[in-house]
Amino acid sequence: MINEKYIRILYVDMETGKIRVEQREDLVAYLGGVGVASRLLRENMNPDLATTDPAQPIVFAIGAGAYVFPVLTKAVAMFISPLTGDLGESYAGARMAMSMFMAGYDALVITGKAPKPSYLSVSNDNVSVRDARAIWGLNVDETGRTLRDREHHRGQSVGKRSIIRIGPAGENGVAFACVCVDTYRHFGRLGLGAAMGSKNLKAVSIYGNRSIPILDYKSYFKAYREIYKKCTSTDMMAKYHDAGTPINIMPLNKAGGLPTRNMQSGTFEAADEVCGDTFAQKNLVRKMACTGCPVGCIHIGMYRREFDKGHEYEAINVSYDYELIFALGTFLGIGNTDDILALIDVVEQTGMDAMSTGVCLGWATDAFQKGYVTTEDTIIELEFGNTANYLLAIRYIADRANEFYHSLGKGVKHASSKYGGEDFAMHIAGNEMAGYHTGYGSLVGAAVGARHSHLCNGGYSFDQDKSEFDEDKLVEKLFAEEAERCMTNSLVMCLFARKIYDRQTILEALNSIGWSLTDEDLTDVGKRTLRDKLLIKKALGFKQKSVKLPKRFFETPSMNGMLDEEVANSIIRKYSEKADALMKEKFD
Amino acid sequence: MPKILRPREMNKCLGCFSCMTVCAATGQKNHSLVKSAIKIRTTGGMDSSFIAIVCLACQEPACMEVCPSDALELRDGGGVLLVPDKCIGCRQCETACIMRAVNFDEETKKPIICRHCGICARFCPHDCLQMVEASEV
Amino acid sequence: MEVTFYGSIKKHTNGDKIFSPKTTHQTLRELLGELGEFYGEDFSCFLQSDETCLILINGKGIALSGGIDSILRAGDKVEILPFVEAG
Repeated sequence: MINEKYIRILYVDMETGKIRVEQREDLVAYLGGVGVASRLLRENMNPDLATTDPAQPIVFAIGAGAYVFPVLTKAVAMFISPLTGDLGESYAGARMAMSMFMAGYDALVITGKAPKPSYLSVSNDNVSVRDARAIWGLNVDETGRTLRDREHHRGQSVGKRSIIRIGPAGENGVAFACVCVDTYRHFGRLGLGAAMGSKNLKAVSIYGNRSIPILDYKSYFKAYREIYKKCTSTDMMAKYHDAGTPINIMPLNKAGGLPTRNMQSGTFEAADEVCGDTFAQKNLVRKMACTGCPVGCIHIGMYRREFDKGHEYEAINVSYDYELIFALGTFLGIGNTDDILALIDVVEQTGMDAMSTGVCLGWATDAFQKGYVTTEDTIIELEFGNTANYLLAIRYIADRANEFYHSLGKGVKHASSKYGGEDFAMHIAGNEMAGYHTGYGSLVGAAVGARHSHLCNGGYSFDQDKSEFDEDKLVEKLFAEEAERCMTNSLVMCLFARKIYDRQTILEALNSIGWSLTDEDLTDVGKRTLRDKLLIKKALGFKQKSVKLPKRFFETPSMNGMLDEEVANSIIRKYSEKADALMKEKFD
Repeated sequence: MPKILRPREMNKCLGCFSCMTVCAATGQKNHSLVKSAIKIRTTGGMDSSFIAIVCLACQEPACMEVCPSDALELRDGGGVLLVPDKCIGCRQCETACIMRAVNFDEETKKPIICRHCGICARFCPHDCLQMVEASEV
Repeated sequence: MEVTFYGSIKKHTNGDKIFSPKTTHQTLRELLGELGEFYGEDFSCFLQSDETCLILINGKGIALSGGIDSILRAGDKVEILPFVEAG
């Protein structure tokens, strides 16, 4: 905690409503964020119990330097993933880190299952489990609006509150249900929404108003000023604010690395109709930031929905990003910005991860087209480009409408093992793929990454490496980058600022607010945390060699040409050796 | 004539809160948002627009008029400056301000009112906050 | 030898395409260095920082063709596209 030499943790038992606060000096060596959260997950989880057993914990944590420096805006959630049964780890910005900082908690550990639908209200002078029966079943917008009014704290909390909430999909246990954070951001991947739903936890509202004196104003403000300047006056961050991540559609399409139609191809003929510039021209109405970030990468697109005859229109505002345009756009053969926004909107309101939903629908469409499933299962005909039917299918998944959609709601790995089509069920170790088919970097990176995400180690960026391809070098880079991100995710730095927060900047910033860290300390935090994550995976039964990559990864050419399964497995084996060695290392 | 702060172009506001962070830091030597003289808020959820609630630098400040102990002095260019030693913490200034721009600090029991120093404008990434000549408004 | 620029890199150049640079070059590294000097500091910073652009030679990613030290031949088409790291 800022100005203190301990990590302050709030434990909440949803079953009894009892809380306890701990101040842990021993966790200071983990800085905060994912470092602390990994420790807490290890301490509180029980590998012998089921994934969604009430006893299993959900851990939220903010980092060292949270909120007081630009772009250290995120909180991490760690849990046992209802989707993979493996490590669950997800990041979100918006107001969560700011509100936890203001409330005075570095971490929340939530265990138990509430006897009836509830929500948790946390502020610096009160914590309570409250009745949410009336809002159980509401979509994420209605839930947010209701709690905003309810949790007004005598009118003081406006602007300082974070309300994280699940939608019907999380309540219904859809394995890739997400958590909406302050309307436009999310804990997206790996099913935190289902984990919260399993605890009858509809939402967490966090607010704080404590005073936090600055210990060394000169040093702190000097560091703040320099980082702020790098964020706003250089080119480093401008592109995130400009067209944002959607700018990648055209380059990846040109390069043949844009997954299209359930990855039948790496290029999409209508890519220019859904690229960043087109979205900006046709739909962009607003840009926003997470609190604490002067860049503002949140792009809000508006589409006009005709809901009835007689010129009846409504305006729907939706936040869009590259991954959503891939998953609910190119991956489904949809080449129209309004259609993509409409799909994102339904996924949002039901509370599901857009990426996993898109990949599941892609498989379902392919399976339907090939005859593995019929309308007996899918209710409606699924075809690439048919937005109207996808809008229905998304609701069927969220509502778990029948046996087929129930299975689909467990993820594409599960659904394909039951209905067939495993070769084209595009997941990596159970987590649906991200929007990059760029080479061994993206594929292996997700296979060995601790949370099987494209962000674990940024493997896709090594596929554009300026140097020649080399298996051993790739392994070194993936491993080093993953450990480095374990450290930056202890701050918790938004990955967009990775060029700004080099080691020297991190040290200057943290040491100006009372830390006394060295470069070796930072390396140490990264390695300890990665080790903790690998041990969590091991305890949960994860075995790297059991990961079988769907065949289509080796049948559709990537940006770097056709990939070879033997080569991929060889790289994975080499990486595993390094991972095993790290797990055996001793840290005090 | 000294300048005053005006939130001129709030439709561009990102909601980044940098203005509040630097105001609290430089004005009160504090990391907390509650110590900021300027308040950014939505008009009803993240879907709605952002507004800035901040002192308008009145030439005839209502807050100064109701202060029973003369703890608020008229500032050159408009607005007020607090004389902390004279303040008794009665909160009448808070009630008097029609803009709700007086931030009463629960910790020190004294009001935090914008001094129009301009630091928030310097740290606004979009120039939503501007320092303008008092004669222009 | 044709070099094409896309996206935000366009603003540093005179349009979508430029003709072949005047001085001689053999590898991609030399070509990029030359382009950087030709267009001034902003542009060279852009190209020198890793991961901020995608470079294709004849439509293929460069990692499989020798990387930045790939040898270029007459008639090769080099494309430089902007790229934004995910977060």
